[in-house]
Amino acid sequence: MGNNTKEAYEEREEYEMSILDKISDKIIDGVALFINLIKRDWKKRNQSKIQEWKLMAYALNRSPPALLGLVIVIAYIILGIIGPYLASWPYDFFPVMYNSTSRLAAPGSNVFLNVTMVKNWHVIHYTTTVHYSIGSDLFGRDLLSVLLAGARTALVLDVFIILIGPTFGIILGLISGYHGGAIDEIIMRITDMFLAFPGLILAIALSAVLPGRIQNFLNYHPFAQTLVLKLFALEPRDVNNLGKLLAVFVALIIVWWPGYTRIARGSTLTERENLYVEAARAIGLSSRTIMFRHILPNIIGPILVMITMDFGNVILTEAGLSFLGLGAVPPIPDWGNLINQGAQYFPQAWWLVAFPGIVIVTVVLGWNLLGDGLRDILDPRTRRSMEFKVKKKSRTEGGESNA
Amino acid sequence: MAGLGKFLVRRGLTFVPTLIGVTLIVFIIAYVIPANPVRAWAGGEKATKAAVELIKAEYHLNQPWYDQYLFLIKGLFTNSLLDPLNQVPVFTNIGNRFIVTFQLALFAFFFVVLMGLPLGIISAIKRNSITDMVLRILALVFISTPIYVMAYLFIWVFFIHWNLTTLAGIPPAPPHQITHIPVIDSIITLNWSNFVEQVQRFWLPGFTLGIAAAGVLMRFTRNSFLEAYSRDSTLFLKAKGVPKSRLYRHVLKNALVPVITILALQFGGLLAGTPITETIFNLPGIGLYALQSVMYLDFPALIGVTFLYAIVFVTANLIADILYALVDPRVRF
Amino acid sequence: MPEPLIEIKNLSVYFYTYAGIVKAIEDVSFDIYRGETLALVGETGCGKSVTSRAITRLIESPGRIVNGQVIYHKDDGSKVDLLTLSDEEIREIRGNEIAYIFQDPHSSLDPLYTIGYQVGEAMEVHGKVKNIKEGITKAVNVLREVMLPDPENRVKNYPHELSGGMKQRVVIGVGIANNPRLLIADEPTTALDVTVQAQILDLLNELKKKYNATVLLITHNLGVVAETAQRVVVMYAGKIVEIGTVDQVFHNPLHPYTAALLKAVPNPLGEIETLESIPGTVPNLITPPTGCRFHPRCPFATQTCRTEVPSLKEIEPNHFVACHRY
Ligand SMILES: Nc1ncnc2c1ncn2[C@@H]1O[C@H](COP(=O)(O)OP(=O)(O)O)[C@@H](O)[C@H]1O
Ligand code: SF4
Ligand SMILES: [Mg+2]
Repeated sequence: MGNNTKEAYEEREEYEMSILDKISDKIIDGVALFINLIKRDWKKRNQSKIQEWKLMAYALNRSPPALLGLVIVIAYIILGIIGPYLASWPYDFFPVMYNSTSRLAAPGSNVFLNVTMVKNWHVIHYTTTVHYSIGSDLFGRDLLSVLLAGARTALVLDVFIILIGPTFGIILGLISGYHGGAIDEIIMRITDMFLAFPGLILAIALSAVLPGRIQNFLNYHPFAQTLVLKLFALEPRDVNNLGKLLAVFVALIIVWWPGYTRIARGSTLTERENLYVEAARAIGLSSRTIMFRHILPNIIGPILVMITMDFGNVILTEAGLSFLGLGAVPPIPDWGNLINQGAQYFPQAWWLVAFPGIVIVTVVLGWNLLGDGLRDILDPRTRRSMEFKVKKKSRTEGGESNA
Repeated sequence: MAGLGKFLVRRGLTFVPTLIGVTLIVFIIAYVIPANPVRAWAGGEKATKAAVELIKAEYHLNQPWYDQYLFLIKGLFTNSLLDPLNQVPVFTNIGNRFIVTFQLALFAFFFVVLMGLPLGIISAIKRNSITDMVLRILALVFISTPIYVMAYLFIWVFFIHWNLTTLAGIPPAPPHQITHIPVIDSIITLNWSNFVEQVQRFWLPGFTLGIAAAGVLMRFTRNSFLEAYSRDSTLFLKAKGVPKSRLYRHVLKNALVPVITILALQFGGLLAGTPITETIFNLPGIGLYALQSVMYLDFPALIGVTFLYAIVFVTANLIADILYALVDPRVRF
Repeated sequence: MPEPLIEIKNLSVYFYTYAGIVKAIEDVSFDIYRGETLALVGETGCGKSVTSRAITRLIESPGRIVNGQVIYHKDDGSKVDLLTLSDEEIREIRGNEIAYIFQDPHSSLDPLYTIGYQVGEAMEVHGKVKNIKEGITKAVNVLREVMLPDPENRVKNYPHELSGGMKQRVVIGVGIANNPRLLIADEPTTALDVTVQAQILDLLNELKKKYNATVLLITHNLGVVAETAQRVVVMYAGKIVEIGTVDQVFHNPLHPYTAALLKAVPNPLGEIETLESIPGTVPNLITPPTGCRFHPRCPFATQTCRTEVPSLKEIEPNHFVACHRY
């Protein structure tokens, strides 16, 4: 017994910092710096939090599926912003009006057009050739251009639905779980009612009945009209198609809150029992501060995962509704609607099902991969059980002192 | 099990407000929001004023809203509420179609269990390996693919290319009916030829409908297995010297407790998730009926269908609770 | 000269977590003598459980035994290094020759199987009984042995139908079912009510006497150590700081940490002293302090302490300490 242990520290295993680790460190430092601009001394007070974020990022960097998901999601967001400007042809230019062979043109084909149109009160004449790299739709529109323009429709619906529906649901859940009693009972009974509906049926019913009222509202509110047109990158003359598009938007918000209410309430109930809540109440913090400043950050992990995956689910459901002919109708560019067009001519016009299908699957899969990776990283239990591979052995002298 | 009766009554009572609420919500969606459904029922824009008035009187549409609502609910319970489109009582329509939907959900469920459970378990046992990564991505692909894209892909492969299914008509039920679910009856009565007919018509829509749920089940099973594996009791089993196969048997049994209850909910979800599948595969079930009732603003039918969906939801939850109590000795009613 | 049953040599276990490499135990060496009760003491998180589990390789990913030997002296006089055995060979030793009792009886047992099954299973998997049915029959005797009341009927109970103390008796029953050479009890009373703790300890002592078994008792209750153990191993932050007989360690603690630990609790062997908690906190084991790991909290720390790792030295017969003061 009593082996000599002087050599014990000389050879020390270390994780290799990959280039990704360095990038994520930079990003997190940047974010911290930014928050520091808004809140003074934030960085100083939250050193350990920043460190923890960096460590979580290292875990993410070691999960190839999650990274793939992240790349897809970033690409989707970028395309959603600049997609309409990348499209070679405007979404409301219908070649089929000038040459009927452009209807359902096969991938790779070229169609010659002799265009006569009215623009700014002038009649214009010109000829052009459209190259359909991945085919055309019923109106002879270049599928690639419509897909690019459709990214904006998808992204705007996606972001705003997730921003509104789940937020509303989480707030209700916090209130319900924190206050308990009659408030809880009422909120949860209403939530149950909405949960007892199959989401798709409720969304279908709402998308069918709402367009009239929404169109009416828009016709009386020109500012809202312009805003919506700008958001979706649509031309002013499409204003009469907005009712159906926004009906889907409202329908999905109504469908999307109850799940979050239930989750948020459940975790709030367990969190409420913790000592820190008792302490916060004892020093006289308001319910609102306790709920949003203290409870919410502690229950947000699983909810963030759910939100990430729901970004995909919203796309899926929205596309499902337009597949059924609800929501976006031509000329509004929409991925689900393209498949709706193609379905009637399947399998002849296979590209109208295949390419939008691939786009939808890819984007939804991206969100799901990212969400799945986040689940592993945000859950402290699985995070701790991840095993890191040792890449190299470096020789260092002793440990770093932390005396 | 003595408490089961009491438990059912207690649970049944808490569901009453849910059912009332659901029908109220549909009522609001159907009668308050849209401008004028009656015109559509009477035959669109060209409907005569007299016809419209007649329909209004028949469905109490010129009465206050609570009277309209009570009329609908009473009509549902006595099955005297007629579907304005074909003048058949709503629940008679639903009953006939429910058999198709139930059989579709049954086929889907078969595939869900067949794929979801074993793949989820394999994924968990081989955790953090390449196999696990591939299976996890596969499950996510299942979840991420729109059902209609999947449907057209499968139709192209299995119908157009290999002709392994029929896509038209509905095979007749076997002559001797016991459960009124054709495929089950054909098995019970050993009617082989009818069984084959049912399978040929239903396997592909069932497979399509089940794919996403199978992905969900794979993930749930994997997580549940790993959760059970990480418990102290598993370490204690190892410390006891229990061999691997037996260790996994313990873990699996523990993992299946939540999985079984999820299965009940998933079956409910499959029953309610059929609209698109039934549309594409041309199956006259509840989902298609619900879609048509929305398209034609046929709201008596829509109320009937959503009422049915709410009952399915409530029943699935109840069965999940009962199963939970049956498989876990810690839970009593 | 006492005869060793287990010799642990230079054992190191690391956890390769996302936050860094946790050096849970490093260079741990001590012997367990045949027939003795050896106490392993130290603050929570100092590596007691990891050490005891590493003996039969019960370390789960992300943990790995990175170095060391565990020499097991069999009854027939042969020696094996448990860390080099195949999975099947080590399985045959676990629960059979080296058995464990874990801290929390509520989570040790499988909730879905009867206690009779779980005790019987321990015998079945080591071929002591033909099948599980015979195992459950024999389990009645085992449960009587651990003084579970009414064992004939209790075998049919599920764990949730038993109180915490009764569950721990079942866990002990699983442990002794195969009459093991070494019983490792990892804080067997920590999760129990104070009133039940004494009963469980009495039971362990009785069983030990009856079977003349060797016990490795992990605890942070020094009173328990004084009552039941012959020798003590003191750990701090993943390293052994002192080894000696109970008498030596309690009356003549050499390591400043041991001395502080004894001051922190009412010493059952000496006069009751004032409670004086040890200043400072247990270091994290990802970047442990250099040199002597106790130096940030040690009142006697010198420059050497900060840079050089002290090795275990025998100061008096059988009394070892790892400290530069000696
Ligand atoms: N699964 C694990 N992952 C990471 N670190 C672990 C794990 N298990 C134990 N450790 C580390 O090993 C050290 C010793 O733990 P343990 O042996 O359980 O302490 P105790 O002396 O309380 O029994 C702790 O500091 C802990 O951080
Ligand atoms: S080696 Fe130095 S720091 Fe460590 S216990 Fe001894 S005197 Fe204190
Ligand atoms: Mg411990």
